[in-house]
Amino acid sequence: MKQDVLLYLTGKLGIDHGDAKDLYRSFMDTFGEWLGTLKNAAPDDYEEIRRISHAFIGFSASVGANDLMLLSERLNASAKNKDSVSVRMAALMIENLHGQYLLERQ
Amino acid sequence: MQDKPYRAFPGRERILIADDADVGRGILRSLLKKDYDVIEAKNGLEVIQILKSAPENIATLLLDMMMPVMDGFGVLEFMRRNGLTETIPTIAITAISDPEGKIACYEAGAADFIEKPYDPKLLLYKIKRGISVSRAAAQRRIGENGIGSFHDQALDALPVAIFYADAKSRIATYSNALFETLPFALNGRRNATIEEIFPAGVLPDVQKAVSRLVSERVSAPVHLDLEKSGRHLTLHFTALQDAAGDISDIVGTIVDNTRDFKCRRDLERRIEELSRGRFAQ
Repeated sequence: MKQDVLLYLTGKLGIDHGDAKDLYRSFMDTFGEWLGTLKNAAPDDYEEIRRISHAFIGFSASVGANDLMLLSERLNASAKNKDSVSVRMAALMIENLHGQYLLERQ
Repeated sequence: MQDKPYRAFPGRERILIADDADVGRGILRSLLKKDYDVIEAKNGLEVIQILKSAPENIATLLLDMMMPVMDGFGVLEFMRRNGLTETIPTIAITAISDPEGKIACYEAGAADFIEKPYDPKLLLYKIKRGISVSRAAAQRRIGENGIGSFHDQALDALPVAIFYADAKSRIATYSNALFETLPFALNGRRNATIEEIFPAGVLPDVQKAVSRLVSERVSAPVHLDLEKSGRHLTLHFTALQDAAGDISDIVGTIVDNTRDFKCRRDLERRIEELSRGRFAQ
């Protein structure tokens, strides 16, 4: 996952390795902060959840974290459909995947 | 006559990146820093502060539409109200590519949009195209404001340097080639006079040509040898007249004879024709 992101940043975007590592750290920090916002959001505040999922999609897409981006899109669609079960599922999956990213970071 | 040149003084174009996320700005900064000066804003209000202070210094705005404090739509509304959407091309950045969202960006005044993840080649192409369009718009405005569409959008494409000055010889607009031909030209000064952009060695000839143009309305080519650079230049002045027959503007063209332009002779002939045409009017 981390390697995929770094490969995307250096290979596809042509960013030098030092900058890519900084960007990865920045991505992890930002994503973590927004995950905290998601956890604090009311389960039926679909507008807020869509706003957060939109931010997730933006960060993930920017750095080529396609797995997180796909889950974020699922969260966005679930919130759009006001499907509370799917929202909860997607949120848990994102949290879980982010946890795996964190493990790789260490 | 315009008080300001149609663009900032030469150097790298400046791109304003607006994104609330550090990582979003960081990616764009990394992609653009080799080719452009990059300045950043974290929300719409910061963008507006920058635009209010020096809009002419921004070549393109990359605008994330989803930002706190003030989003991209608020920024575009401000730009529309202040006539900045034409002069500063805005590329809206979106993460979700639904057609309604794209249409909303266009309707709000965005010139273009780009989706995440970025394709760097496409991003750079869109920025270059945006800058080119805004330059053309600036040239059109100059034409609409009285100088005429004499050279219009092709100004920079010509392998000759061209500048416009007012009747007092103060240079108002100029093509980029002026800086290749006279690298010391203007030297960062606004409102420089024609005499100030030439080196002292050739100044008497330049002053004589300006004087003949103003007093006798004679537009004869002046051949200048620049000792330092070893360049040989041909300089033409043309006077534009107002309805009363007074000189309103002076157009200067400089052909660098030391550069091997295949079309140089054609250009010189065309310039002479234009000069004659202007006086005939």
